[in-house]
Amino acid sequence: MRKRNSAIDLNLLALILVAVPTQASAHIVKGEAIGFVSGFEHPISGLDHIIAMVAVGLWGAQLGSPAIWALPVTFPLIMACGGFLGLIGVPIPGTEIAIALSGVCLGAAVLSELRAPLWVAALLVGIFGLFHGHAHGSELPSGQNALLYSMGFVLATGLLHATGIGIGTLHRWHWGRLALRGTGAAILCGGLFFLRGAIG
Amino acid sequence: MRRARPGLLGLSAIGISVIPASAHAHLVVTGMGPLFDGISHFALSPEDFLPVIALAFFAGLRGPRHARTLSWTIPLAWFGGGVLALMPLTPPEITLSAMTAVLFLVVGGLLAVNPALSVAACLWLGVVVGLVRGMADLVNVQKSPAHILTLIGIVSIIFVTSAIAASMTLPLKRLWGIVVARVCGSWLAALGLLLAGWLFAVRRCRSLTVAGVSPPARHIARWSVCRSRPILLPAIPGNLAPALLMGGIFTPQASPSLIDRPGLRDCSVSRALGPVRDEPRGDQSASESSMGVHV
Repeated sequence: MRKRNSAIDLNLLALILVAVPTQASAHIVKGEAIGFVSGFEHPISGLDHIIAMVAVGLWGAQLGSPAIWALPVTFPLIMACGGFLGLIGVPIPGTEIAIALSGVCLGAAVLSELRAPLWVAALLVGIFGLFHGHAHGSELPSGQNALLYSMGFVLATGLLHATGIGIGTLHRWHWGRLALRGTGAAILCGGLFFLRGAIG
Repeated sequence: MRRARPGLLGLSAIGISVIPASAHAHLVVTGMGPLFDGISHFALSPEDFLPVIALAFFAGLRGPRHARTLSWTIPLAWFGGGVLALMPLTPPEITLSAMTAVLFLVVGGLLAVNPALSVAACLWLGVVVGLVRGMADLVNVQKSPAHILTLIGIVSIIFVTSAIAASMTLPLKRLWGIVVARVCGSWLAALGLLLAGWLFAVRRCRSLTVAGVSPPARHIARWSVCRSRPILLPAIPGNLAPALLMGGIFTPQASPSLIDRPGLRDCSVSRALGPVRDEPRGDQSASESSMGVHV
């Protein structure tokens, strides 16, 4: 009885093997798939970029409408301009320092709940976005699909802002406001840490 | 004691399991004919569906007249562009890629800003988008009437997509819904800027995609990017002139020493904005080959 069961098991195993899809995947749009994933991973690969982008969303949420959507729209657009400059090889000095400073300044803005006019906030965010974009544009990897890479890149950036805005919805509660200011303090500390690394 | 052995069924199954399945390398063929190949081509090509959806979103935000106009304009212009490409009456592929990047920027910017554009202006924008992308889709395929069916597939899915996309933003009254649509526009504009950056970054041309001059190069369209120092050659081929006008510095047929230099990178700009391509294979029908490679 046991032998018979073993034979049945082998038959079953063989039938399962038949059902397993044998996808060849030979040369299939490999660069494109990698392009999107690499682009998506790029903005979230560095903590200095992450804290700044999340801080933009947090600050926008603190400032309320229209800054809540104007700042996250400004940042990717100006960042794309910076990426454009980085791609064509236009040098911008002090990029790393500016990126670290963006964490410091935006963290301080979130910590102090700075009620800046919209144009000032947009200008500040735009200037920092330029440096972030330039860093990304200069570091683009080789052999990628431009469109899919850019799609992943922009999508990840936008989602980081959305994360910040999502966390920023806590602002409606008193304890939430305190939590946001605490997050701003953490971002400020992170920015200072990166600034020390960039200068040193 | 007999060892357990697989029966005839099991042996057959093992035999079948080791038979290699067809690889279908490079193919995006549906196997359902050129019409569905066209539909799947559109659905799998972000350079095609992103501007269409963004433009339809914009038209929906502007009102029903804009939406109705664009729902017909884009597919018809796309068809016209495809027919022009089959004739063939198209600008070089690099120009179409550059125009696509600019269109991303314009359409995304319009959606982000949401200005009060007239119906006529919307119509002309739809015509330009349709013509450019229609030409870009079929610029490198074999010039054969068989591709008309593929083109009809593309056009039909464009009509459906634009109608659905416009109907999504048409009834939007809440601010957050409109903001989401406009944020999508800003992302598309950012995408256009980055693509323009890739195009500008093209400083050396490894292989020119000049149809009729270098047939293998027709399928390559690879451009190398050198970040070390720009070189401007006095003689610029005619098909690169539009791209040069946009500020890029090109060096056709860069020498291997240049290509191997540290800091040199590959940038597949034309791959990103590539058309439907033919694979030069004898066993493939025209309709299959039209969707054969989208690299």
